[in-house]
Amino acid sequence: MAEATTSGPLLEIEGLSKSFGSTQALDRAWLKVMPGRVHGLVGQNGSGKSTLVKVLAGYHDPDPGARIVIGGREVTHTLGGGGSRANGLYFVHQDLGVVGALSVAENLFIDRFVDQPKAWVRWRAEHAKASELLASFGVRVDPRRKMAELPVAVQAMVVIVRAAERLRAGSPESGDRGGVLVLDEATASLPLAARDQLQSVVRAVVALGHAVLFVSHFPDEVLEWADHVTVLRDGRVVADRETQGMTEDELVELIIGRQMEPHQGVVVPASSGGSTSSMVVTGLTGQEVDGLSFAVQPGEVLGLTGLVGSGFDEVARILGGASVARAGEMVLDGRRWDLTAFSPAAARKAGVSLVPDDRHRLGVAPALTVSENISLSVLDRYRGVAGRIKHRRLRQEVRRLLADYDVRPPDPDLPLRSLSGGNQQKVVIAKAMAGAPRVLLLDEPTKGVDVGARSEILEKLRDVARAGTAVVCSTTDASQLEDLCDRVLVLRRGRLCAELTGEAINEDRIVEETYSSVV
Amino acid sequence: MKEEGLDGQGVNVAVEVTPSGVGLLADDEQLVARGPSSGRKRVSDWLGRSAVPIVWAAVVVIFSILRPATFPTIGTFGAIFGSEAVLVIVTLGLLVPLRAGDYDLSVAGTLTLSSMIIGRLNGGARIEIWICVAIALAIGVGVGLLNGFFVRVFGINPFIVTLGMGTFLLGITLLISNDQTYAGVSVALDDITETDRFLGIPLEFYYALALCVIVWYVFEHTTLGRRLLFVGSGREVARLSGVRVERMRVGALVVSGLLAALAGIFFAGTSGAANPTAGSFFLLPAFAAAFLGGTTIMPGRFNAWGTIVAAYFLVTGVTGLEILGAQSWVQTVFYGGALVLAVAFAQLSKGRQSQEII
Repeated sequence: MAEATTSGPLLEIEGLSKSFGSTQALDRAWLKVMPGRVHGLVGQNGSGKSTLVKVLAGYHDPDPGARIVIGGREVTHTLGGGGSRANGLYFVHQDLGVVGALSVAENLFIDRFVDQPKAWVRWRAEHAKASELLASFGVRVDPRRKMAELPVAVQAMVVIVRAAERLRAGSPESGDRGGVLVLDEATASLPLAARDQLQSVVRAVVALGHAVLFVSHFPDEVLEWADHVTVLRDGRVVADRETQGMTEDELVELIIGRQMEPHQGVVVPASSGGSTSSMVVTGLTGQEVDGLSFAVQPGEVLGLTGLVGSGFDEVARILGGASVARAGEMVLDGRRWDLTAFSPAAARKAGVSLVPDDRHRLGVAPALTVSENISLSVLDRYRGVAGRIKHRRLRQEVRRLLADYDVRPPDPDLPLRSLSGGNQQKVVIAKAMAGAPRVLLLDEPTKGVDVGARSEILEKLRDVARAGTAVVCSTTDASQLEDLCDRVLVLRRGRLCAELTGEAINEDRIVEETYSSVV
Repeated sequence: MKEEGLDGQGVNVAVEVTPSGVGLLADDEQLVARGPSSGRKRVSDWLGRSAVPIVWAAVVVIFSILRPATFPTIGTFGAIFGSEAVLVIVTLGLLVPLRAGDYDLSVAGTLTLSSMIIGRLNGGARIEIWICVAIALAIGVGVGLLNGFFVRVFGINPFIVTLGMGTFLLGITLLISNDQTYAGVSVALDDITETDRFLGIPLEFYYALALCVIVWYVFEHTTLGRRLLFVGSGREVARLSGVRVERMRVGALVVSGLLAALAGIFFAGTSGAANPTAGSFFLLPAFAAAFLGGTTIMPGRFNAWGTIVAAYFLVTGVTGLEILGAQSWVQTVFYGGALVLAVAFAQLSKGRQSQEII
């Protein structure tokens, strides 16, 4: 124990299991994080990676039998949010947790301002201290600037410096011992260029004797950043080794648990089909997606997938007019649309309809009735003299749609929020289809929907396609893509990295392509 | 789902599941469609919708028993229905931005300025009344456009914009009136508002009633009204469905400005004079009537019939208490209390789904 104070692990987990009902999310997982090192933690969706992080954060209690030692002290009880922090753990999530309206210095010392409220603050001294602290990590930014004015990457750096400062000040009783900074997918939404800068800040943190637990989806990034990597698959640790000498293919194979099949250059130029009625998108560029071109035919179900931050989900939002593109155009039914000047109204006029992912904020108004929600986008068709709604005909149409999409109960006058999640989603889809669009765009169409409703919705979407509508579905759910799609585009860092058709559309292959970097 | 909500649970849940649908007033078919299984729910729905009218009737009966000589008279009812038409008109105007999810706190300022325009130009400067009316209405539209400009171009919360605007307009009113009351407003205006009566009630009551019908029709039976509803209760949904949200919001503020100016004209006509501060008293009763109205007829929504019922309920209460001998403080206490209770009741009936509409 005496020896351990200088070189022992800062975080040690043994026999960590966690089950939710009959699902075993973690099965005797273990982890040993040493000081001065960046430790990668990887695994695909459902591998138990995020459960492990949530146990550390005190969000879940582990099943009995686990041993968790933080900073040389065994943690016996539940960790709790503040508890883990006092124990020398500090979390930075994808949502950075900054207060945009406050200055850099205020964000940096926010804990101190809260913990030790003084009657007054000596700003000049605080700013000098903030500048000095940031500079010691190689971050040069005026501490008086408002956080919200800074690029996200710089915000992330400030947050990491704040974390390091907390780790230093956090556990006085452990003396010179370092703490563990947990970066939980914190880089997923950052632009590529900024990640390098961030990496140097992270290096500066571990140089102080702390450790960084780097939780990430991106195998290449983990290899670049981490000294050591733990791979989780199906709740178990399947590998724990130095990253030195490891290739990306090896790591991907560990993550997905299979040999990578040799690729025969599957990337097909997207403009393969070109019938006049197809939708052709060229040079689509947004916040994440970068110069994507593709076409989709009537009656086809096209899937879009990739890792978080790859831009696969941005495509539907842009084409539905919900976000603005930086470049790109779309041709549909012989008409050309500039996507940098696109809007929801233009999308509707073009014949494109979007089912957004945030059902309660973007999809429907929960307080209004089913009928009102479904009919919003087609009101003009039931418009009589002086804007009067033709209630009777509208009602018939709503009843038809409710029957068509099997919404239960099929009562048009119920407030939408009294329906179950699955039935609400059916209403969102019925609403999108009410205008008989040429192209139906879906962003995670089965999110928050039970299994039964999920298969009904997928079945319905296939019917929609059979009836001649082009369907574009973006999702991270590989089994959904397998069940639903005729063709799948896999994006990586905003660009097309694979196009799968026919037999190649299976869950394993999709996951493989998602994690591989064949470009 | 529906059946689960009915059985064994309290009134709250039943009210919460109340379909405040367009159909309730518009469409008999719906009641049939609901089926026999929901009899109890229909009763509690009906009670929820009718609570305010029932209480109103009770209040009328109580005051009539307490003061049989003074309360249940044509004179009192004429005063209640006639003089308070101004309140109904300004509240119906306010209802439009509220339906779109925005506050307009400048309606009382607009009303006061409009009445002073009539007083100063017609009563004071002897300019033809119809010209004064046109100017007052134009100013109302102008105020709405100015509010809308700040809301849309600078993206400021209308609550703040209209709060400032209301106070600003009161100041302008003091300026142009030189802090004086102007009497001598055209008899023609007085005639068609207060003096001429139909069935013993001043004509302005019927104008307010007609306006209520128009607002109800637009809200419940036109595509415009439906879009306005979505702007208020699902703004991003409306935007993604191609509704021009910002334009609707500006339009709503223009309508409330116009109707507040109209109320101001009637106010000047009713009193035959314009006082530089009297109009500011309308702000709180207007909000109280709008919010209380949102708990009745179509609970959970700002609606025209609920508003007119609530407005006259409040006025009846105040008038009756004054006949009983209450002092002037009772008015403010009554309106203020009614506003808070109305909002509390609306919140209660919606359960956890807070801040959706009201």
